[in-house]
Amino acid sequence: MGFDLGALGVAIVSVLTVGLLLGAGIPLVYALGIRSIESERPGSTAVGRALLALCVVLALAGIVVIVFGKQLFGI
Amino acid sequence: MVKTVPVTELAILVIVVLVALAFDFTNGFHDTANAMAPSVATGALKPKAAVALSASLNLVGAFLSIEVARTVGSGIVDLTGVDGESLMLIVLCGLTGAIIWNVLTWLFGLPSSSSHALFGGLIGATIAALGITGVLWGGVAQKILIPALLAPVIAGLVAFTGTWLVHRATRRISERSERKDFRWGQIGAASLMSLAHGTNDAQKTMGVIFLALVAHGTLDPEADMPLWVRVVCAVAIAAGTYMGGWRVIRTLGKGIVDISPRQGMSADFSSASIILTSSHLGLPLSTTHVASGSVIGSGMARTDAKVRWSVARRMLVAWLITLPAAGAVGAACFLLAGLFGHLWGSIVVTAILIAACAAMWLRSRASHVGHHNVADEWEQPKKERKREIDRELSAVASGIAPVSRPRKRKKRKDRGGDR
Repeated sequence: MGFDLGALGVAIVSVLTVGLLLGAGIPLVYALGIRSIESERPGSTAVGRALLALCVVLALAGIVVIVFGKQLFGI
Repeated sequence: MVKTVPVTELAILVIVVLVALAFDFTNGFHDTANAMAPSVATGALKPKAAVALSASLNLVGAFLSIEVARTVGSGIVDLTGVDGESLMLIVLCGLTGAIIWNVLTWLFGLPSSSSHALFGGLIGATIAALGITGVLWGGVAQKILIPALLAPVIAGLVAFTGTWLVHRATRRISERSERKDFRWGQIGAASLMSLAHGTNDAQKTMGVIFLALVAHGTLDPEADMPLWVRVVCAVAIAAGTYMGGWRVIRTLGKGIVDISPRQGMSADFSSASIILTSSHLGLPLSTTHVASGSVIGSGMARTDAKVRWSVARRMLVAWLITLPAAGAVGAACFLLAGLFGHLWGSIVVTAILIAACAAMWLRSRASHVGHHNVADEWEQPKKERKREIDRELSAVASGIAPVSRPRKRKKRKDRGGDR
């Protein structure tokens, strides 16, 4: 078997990109949600809860795309 | 004579499938730490609840994807032209090397890669059977060595970024809120990580059993993965996960760095996203390397916690020798089996495997780590021991205690403490 550097490079860039977007993005959104809930500004609790809900949606969307991406979206 | 050949092959196939499931069990057992160590370490989940949750999600994850199962073994060893019995024996010896390495590293509490142990065992057994030309070194570099180097670095980078951003965003948050609110984030992240683990690691055993079934002639190489293979592999990895490899959980959760809830959540999200993506791409990444890289990366992002590099170094040494060590055991098993013939060779190798695992399990009882003490402070016992030794030395030096009796006095005191 030959060494396919191109395919390996694409795989690594994909893993790093998704990792940064979801792996670092979801914790950040969650943290912003917690900060909003703790803040005493008007409406911040609703914003905070919306951000926490967004985390759940992002995590579920991530699972759906990654696991069923080929069947549903061809990716 | 003609009738005995299929019976022999069937007997070897049954042994291979059982040993493959044993490997799957040790894989779950060894890798519970990858998903649950941060949650157990911060107290977000009770140890028993953590392993139960992880086991359930591993079970679900095992059914979600089979991309990795398709790539296991392919492109790493060239087994074309090998007869069915020899191929099954190679797989059996490879699995034996992997299981022995998994149990040994569990005994030392080292989070090492089950995937690398499996590949190492297969490579070793193939070299013993076919010589060095039986291994596709380009594939080994592309599928094992380069991902092994890059996985912890990528995971560390992502976890570092995530933890740094989270700490920046929640600088002024109260400690109570950190404990309470981030607990749920951590549980969610750990659950995602367990699911990711199921999508990646259960597949490896499915791939191995598929290979054995093709070697036996039961399946066509182009056939779909049989449902029973998916079910038994999912159950085996979930059962192993539920047993909880407490020694490895302790090292990963308490040994490398003192984990905070925010950090644990970032580390788990980082690991989960990387493993799910690699499962999707069919990259057999080591979940252990990813999880350990994430824990180290998230520790480096905190200024108030130090990474214990001595523990990380021990872990790195284990990673470096996983492939050759499992390979050496796999090769030795194949050479030994060759002395007895295929069927008896398989039985002897399996007997050695059982004896080795039993010996290591008995050895582990001497310093038991379980759900009751898995979250104890890492450095506390060392400090306490030092304080006790200092106290004894000063008592001896000042003539209060006789030189010959400090141990007896210490024993009595310990008993009192236990009561």
